[in-house]
Amino acid sequence: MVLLQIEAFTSPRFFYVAIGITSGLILVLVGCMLALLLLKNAAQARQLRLQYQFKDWLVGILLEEAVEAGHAFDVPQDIARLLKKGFARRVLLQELKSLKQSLSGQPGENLEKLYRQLGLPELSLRNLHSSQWHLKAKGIQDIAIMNVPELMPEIYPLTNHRHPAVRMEAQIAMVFLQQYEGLHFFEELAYPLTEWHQVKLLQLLASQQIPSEEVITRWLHSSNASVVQFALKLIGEQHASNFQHEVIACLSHPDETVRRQAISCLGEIPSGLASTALKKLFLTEADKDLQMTILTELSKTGAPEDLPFLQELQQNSDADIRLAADQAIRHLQTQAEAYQHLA
Amino acid sequence: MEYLYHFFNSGLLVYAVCMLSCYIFLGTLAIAEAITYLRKSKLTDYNLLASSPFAPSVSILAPAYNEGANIVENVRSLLNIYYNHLELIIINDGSKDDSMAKLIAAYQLEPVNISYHPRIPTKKVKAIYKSTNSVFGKLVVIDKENGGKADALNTGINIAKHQYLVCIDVDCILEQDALLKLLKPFMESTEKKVIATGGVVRIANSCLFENGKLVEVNLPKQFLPRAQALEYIRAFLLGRMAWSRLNGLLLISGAFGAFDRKIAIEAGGYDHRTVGEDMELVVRMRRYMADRKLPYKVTFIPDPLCWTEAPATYQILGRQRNRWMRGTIETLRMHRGLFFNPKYGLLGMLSYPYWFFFEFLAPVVEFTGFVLFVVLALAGLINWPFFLALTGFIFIFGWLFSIFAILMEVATFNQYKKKGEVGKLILTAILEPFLFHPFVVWSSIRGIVDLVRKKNSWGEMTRQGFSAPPVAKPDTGA
Repeated sequence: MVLLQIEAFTSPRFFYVAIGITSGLILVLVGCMLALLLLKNAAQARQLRLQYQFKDWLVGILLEEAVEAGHAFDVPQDIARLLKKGFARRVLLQELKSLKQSLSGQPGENLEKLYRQLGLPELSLRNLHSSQWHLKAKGIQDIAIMNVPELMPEIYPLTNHRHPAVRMEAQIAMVFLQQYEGLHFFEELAYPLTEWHQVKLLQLLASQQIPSEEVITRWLHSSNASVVQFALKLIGEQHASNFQHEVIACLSHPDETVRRQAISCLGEIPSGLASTALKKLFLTEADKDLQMTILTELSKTGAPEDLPFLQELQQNSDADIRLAADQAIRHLQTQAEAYQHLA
Repeated sequence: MEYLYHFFNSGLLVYAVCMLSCYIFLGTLAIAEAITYLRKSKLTDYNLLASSPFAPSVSILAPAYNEGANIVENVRSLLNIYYNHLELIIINDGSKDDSMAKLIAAYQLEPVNISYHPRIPTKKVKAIYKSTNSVFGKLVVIDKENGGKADALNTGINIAKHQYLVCIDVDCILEQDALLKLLKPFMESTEKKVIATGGVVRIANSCLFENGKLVEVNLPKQFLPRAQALEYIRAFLLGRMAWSRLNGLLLISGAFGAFDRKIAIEAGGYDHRTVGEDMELVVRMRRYMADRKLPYKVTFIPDPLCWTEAPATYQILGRQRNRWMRGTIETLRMHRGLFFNPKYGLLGMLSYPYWFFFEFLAPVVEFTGFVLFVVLALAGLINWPFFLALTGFIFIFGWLFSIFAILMEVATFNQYKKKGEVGKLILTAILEPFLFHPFVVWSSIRGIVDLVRKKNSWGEMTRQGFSAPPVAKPDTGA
């Protein structure tokens, strides 16, 4: 009975209707495609035209020397007329952002001043207040790049936003605007920092002096494992050997990623103490992958005192560990020979 | 008898409705995923990874068999990739031509003694080479006995030192920022471990290349590669994007994909018993994670990052599609325990059944339907008005799906910008059901027959090579 009912839908008339609807949809899609192509091409052409029109004016502004606080840049009438339109303002904002990212010093400051003078922070702020995550994130990015520190109170609450892209941009903006001080959101961080995010933050802080021991120690004791991992990366990158004891303490952290990072970090701040701690961890560590990481670090930073430990491992039942111990011994011997040769 | 006839008719109808519903569902998901990806991508500075000391380390594995004609240029192209923590491992899988000699001469290679533990069994490695020239410091060349693509890749996995593996075909041309984009998903996950990431493969026929870099994108001039360009847009921009959103992706193209090395090794590496080793590895890695109740993800990057030459003749296309079908069946057979197995969640309840019913069975149903039609037509039992209406609808729905895929391409990456190229794609979509699709179905059926007859050849892929931009010749006045 059911089968016969299904068959009712298989009459040619049913398919004629379906063909009609599908053909209509095809026409609509082709129409959309044509409209999209036309719109895209027109927008691209308009953008290129605007970029060309802005070019000489922006070059002039970049070359202006230090200006007094109240000084306003000259905005030619034709540019002012253009900037009454939303599209032109968005194109200009994009231009200012890309220029600002590659320029510092006086030209960079001039761009910031121009951004404020033209009231573009309003555009960024409107995006920041948008309910759509990508606009919110874009608004934050604009504010950070164009250096508007007075908007930090608006950005700070977003460092714990539920959307990863928004909170990441907010956290980056805080560091952009305040460097290490901006990282005080670590204290209340509800989500883990991704590896990507950590790389970005480290890049922003690369040229900055490492903050006080107290701050770093606090991060190393954070309940958020990704904050501990970040602090270890920072210590390793800056070769801050004064944190050696704290790093060694992290070798017994319950989180595997923290232990791994602590092992790598000790490889960047090598010492007899670090080597002893790594050897001790090797014997208690259940994760073979971490044991292999320890041997890799020992091969990079080990000393002749580590040879007996490594030689013992050459008898290990695991082929990978035997091989890694062999490689570490060979590396240490090559290094010793090189030193002898130099001496 | 009549009841059986109705049952057959209705069964086919239900099958067709399910298939069309799946396509509509996947298309809708693909839109959502594409929008999210593009919005995220606009905010991202991918160059961040290029020079960071914290960027993950990567081993590119490129197996080569009798690639002597282009091997030196192909390796140069891969060495140009913009990434710091990188080793490029070329695996010469017992080539019978002069591939090895050319590589040794071009890159000043010398045998080196590298100790490694072969965790995955492979054919014998004859020698491992590194360059004496520090400019090629990232290059490692393995010369081994012939064992097939899976065996070559496993040898590469054994020797690779780095955290992630990027497996590619040696003749693929990668965009400069390909690795930066492909590796980002591995660094973004917190709750679920990303075990693999797939990338889009685009058709390089008629495109222009210079020093191993893509300099001009063109829509293929020949019909067959153009039909494949359309097919790849449909498969990658609609199918894989949607499956990626569902975290149900079963296939990462062997031509371009990244894997977590540790998981790939623990799962057992590539299986050399199948010609669909790329799909089989992804399925096995997923099973490995699911069996251990470890949260995981397989992601997909829709940017056009990898360009490859598509078969330009029916003969070579036939071999390729024959192999693909055999690979699909072998993988489905090896992992039949997943079929509607709730223990594997989406993998068992949706991804596997989809592949079974709509990737493996679809050509069988189509072919059976065609044979049945011929028999019934000869017996004069065809209800012509119904037949014509149904056939018309199926063709029009196929066109709708293709046009939708082209619209997605125009709205997202819009690679074919030259005048008339989108029009040509639409025309190809109209011709495809008559000139391309039947041949693909026929090749798939031949694949099934070959599998039953235990003919397991890879099928040689002859390539024409990539073209360089035309050099302006001085006017001789002739």
